[in-house]
Amino acid sequence: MSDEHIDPIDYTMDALNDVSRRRADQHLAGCEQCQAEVAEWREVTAGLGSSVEPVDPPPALRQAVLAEAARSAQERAPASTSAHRTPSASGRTRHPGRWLSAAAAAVVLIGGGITVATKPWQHEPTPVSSVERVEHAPDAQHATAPARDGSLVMVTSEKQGKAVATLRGVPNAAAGKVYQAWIITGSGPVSAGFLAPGKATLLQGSITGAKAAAVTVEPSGGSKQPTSKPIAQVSMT
Amino acid sequence: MSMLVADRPQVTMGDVAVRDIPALADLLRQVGQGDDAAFAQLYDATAARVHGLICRILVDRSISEEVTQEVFLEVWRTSPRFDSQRGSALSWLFTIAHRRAVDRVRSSEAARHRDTAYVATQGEPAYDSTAEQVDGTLRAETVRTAIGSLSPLQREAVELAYFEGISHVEVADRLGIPLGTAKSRIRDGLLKLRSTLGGES
Repeated sequence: MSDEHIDPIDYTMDALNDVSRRRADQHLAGCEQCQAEVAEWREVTAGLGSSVEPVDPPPALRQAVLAEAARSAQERAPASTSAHRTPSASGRTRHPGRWLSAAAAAVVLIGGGITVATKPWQHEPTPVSSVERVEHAPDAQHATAPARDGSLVMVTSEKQGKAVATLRGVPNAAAGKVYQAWIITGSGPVSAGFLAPGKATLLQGSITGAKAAAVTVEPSGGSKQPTSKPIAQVSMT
Repeated sequence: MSMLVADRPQVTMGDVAVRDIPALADLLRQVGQGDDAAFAQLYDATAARVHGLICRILVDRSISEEVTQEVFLEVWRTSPRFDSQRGSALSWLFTIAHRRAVDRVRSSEAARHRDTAYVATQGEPAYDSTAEQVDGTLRAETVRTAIGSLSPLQREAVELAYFEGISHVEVADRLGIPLGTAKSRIRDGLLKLRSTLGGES
């Protein structure tokens, strides 16, 4: 049944009903030839997709997507033959728990009272996120500034030129408002993305040469330049 | 800049050469390693395109927004499986978007909304031209020209099949032609499209 080659056009155009699609998926999983044909037709249908006028989704959708992704685990990458051949790669895939705990231990030493949000023993082969890379950086520096009723916690790695910011104990932004982060350089503030209270967020852009980082309340969708006084500011010099 | 371009392989599949938006494949690879900043960038670079396709298929704005959100979450979850050797980042995104949108069309609720919403959005340019700045080297204009090279009958069948999210049986029904004829129009149309797109390089 699933030995029969699929019709790559019907499959790629999503013209199959659920039952046929499932059968086709089973066949595809083991048939290189059909996989190659489907891949080729996908580039053609991508052409059809490209012919459509773009439509900007509302800004709130962006925040929803990013926030939801931050809460969602990713699938594991398929074990590829090259991963088996590269000892360093496979070593990291197989023992990330060990690698991570070592990194986490380093943070406890440097960070003192800071609670590390990640629990490496709970999700084993999840790739190390960019937030973790900064939080676990050997040169990680912590700073805390008051922000409304709570605080802004910053972890920076000069070597990586990156910073992670977390608003703690800060209420959610009012409806229609967002917390926007800024990296302040010699030529003024540059938007560094949005912060959701309680969530460690990698700031966009580089902190190399930055003087400070700040957080303001902005209309949802964000502003090009701050339109209000910072609720928190951390000096980086 | 020139360094960024140098080591980037062109994705070539059979006689179709799709030059991907160069940074997209890299971004998608980084997303596959759990990089949330890369994910934000990928979203910014592609959301209008993905949402445009979904709006075209589903018509209803609020359903389209839901589906666009689902699509990007699926992109996030499944990105570790993305392999640039097997296809362009754009086709990966459009594949997920098309499938999700078509699944929604087939749920009766979406179909109901769509029939009424379609009339309401007719004639009004529902897009924001600033989104055009997202540059695919697979330029929309080029593709439109390629689509324009199809015979009217082929084009009608291909567009019905792809943008209406209906089965080929329904395409045949809508056009009042036998299934075999509908299938060969779609197939011939796509073959023509493939050779036209493959020819421009």
